[in-house]
Amino acid sequence: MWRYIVRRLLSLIPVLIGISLFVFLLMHITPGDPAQLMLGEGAPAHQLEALRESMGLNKPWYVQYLSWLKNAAKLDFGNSLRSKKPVSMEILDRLPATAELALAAVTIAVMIGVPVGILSASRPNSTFDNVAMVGALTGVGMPVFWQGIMLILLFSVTFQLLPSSGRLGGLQYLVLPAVTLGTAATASIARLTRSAMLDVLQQDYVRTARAKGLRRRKVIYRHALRNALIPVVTMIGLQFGGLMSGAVLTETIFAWPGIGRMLVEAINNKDFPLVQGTIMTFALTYALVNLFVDVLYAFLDPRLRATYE
Amino acid sequence: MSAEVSKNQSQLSRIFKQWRRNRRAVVGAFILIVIIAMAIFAPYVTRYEPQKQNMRNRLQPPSAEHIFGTDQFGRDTYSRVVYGARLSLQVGFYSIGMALLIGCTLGLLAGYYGGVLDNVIMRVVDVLMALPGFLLALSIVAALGPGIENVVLAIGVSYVPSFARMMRSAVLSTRELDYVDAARALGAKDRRIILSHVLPNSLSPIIVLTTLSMAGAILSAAGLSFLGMGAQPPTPEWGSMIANSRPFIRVSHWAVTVPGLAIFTTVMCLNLVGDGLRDALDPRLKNVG
Repeated sequence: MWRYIVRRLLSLIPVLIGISLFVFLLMHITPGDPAQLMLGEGAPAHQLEALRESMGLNKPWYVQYLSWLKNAAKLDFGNSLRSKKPVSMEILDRLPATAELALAAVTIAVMIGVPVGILSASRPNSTFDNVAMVGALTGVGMPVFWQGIMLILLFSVTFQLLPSSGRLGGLQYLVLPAVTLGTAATASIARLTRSAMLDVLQQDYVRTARAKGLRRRKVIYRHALRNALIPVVTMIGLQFGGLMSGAVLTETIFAWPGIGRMLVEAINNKDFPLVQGTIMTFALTYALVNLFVDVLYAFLDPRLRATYE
Repeated sequence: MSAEVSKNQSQLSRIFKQWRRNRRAVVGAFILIVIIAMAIFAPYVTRYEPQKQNMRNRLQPPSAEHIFGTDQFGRDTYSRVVYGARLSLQVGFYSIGMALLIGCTLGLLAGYYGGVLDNVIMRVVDVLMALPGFLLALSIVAALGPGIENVVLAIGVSYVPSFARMMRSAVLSTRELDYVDAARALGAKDRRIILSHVLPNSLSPIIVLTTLSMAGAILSAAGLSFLGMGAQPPTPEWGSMIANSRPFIRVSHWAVTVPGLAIFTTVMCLNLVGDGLRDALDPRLKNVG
């Protein structure tokens, strides 16, 4: 098992180097001179030139990239052009807010999606199943930013029950953003749990369990559920990518001070080091979550576990 | 030749029959056709120019004159939503068209020729997949600058990996089939094998992925425009309409609600059609997309 984890960790390195090169080149082709952005429009030419020289902007791009990569490996992404603070500090400042939001959204998605999927599968084509699956389709198709605004319109503007923006001040600030971010994931998890359950319920061992006289409930919860949940675990990992994308939009709508909103602000401010650092943080988190899910998957499925041991 | 045509026809009609039995998919397709028709014939189904301002008529609720009310510049929300459909559908069409063309070509080359080429292509695909699609598109637009053409390009690139991977695995599974071996033994050239054996066999998953990706692309484009990275005002675009009218929701929410419903309906219909196609074409593809 450990060998598998180490091998997977090592295989992340080339991918992360690749994405860092991609992001670096993207920022490199972006119109706009970082020195000019730092010093402002009216800066004299000799100051600009001195700053370019000190930032290494006059060197060829691959030299710039290599020195950036060397520092990035030490988690030093340079300083924000705007706040002048280290990018890694900015990210660490904002990361807890995003983690809190993502965790709340995943919790909602699992707590609602899995039971709904199980109930739907245990009574296929019933009224509950139909309503739940139409609801799930709705959740998948709804634009997250629009849903957020609609929730604000309903719960903050009309009924004045929940705050519409900000974070510090209590749990009530988390409710609307977490529901907004969690909806699409809830819908996908409900759909997948249902289809995984239906697949498992057709397996021979389920039929055997029924044939030996076990009650339906017991078969569903004791025999079928355990096996159906394995693909659902993978799905939660896949959902994480959507969750990160959704976080960018959700944080923007609810003025949630996480790294998603920071990325949008950094793009608008042409704060290249901050954009690079934030995107690399997203890529690293995404890679680690997927790795974690793969390992968990191998751990949960005895057939897979045997191949890795 | 004629036997081949009738065989294809019967297969198509079988798939169509199967698909038609799925009521949700048929309803989705019907609404989608209505949306497409409205977009094409926008000047005939609307009464106002989408960009015509009327400051005396700002933020009106629905009325006989303006069935979905007006926005902060007194523009007719209904007209803007109908014209906005043109842009959203085009973005979906062009970006996924691009992803389809590039992704499938890369997947075909990687799967068919294997070796070093396969390795290089798939490592590039791995790198592109290291970021979730929307974030990849966002970083590309961030570099290229805002604008709807850049959004098409960015979303197109972000969907290349899914098409490349799907095509590659489809090719890998057909390449080993006996009749492909037979064709090769008969001296068929690579081009012929690819065009007449490998491609037709990979069509089902590609069609399903195309439909479902189109829904995703429209959603992403609206999201990018909402963040101000896509279509620029005063162009009627669903995402940017929502963003620009948002500060006024306390006064009148119609200019925000209706474009959102339009995005939602279009995306939902595409998903329904895609799900239906998946079930009709190949029930084994249950987890595609």
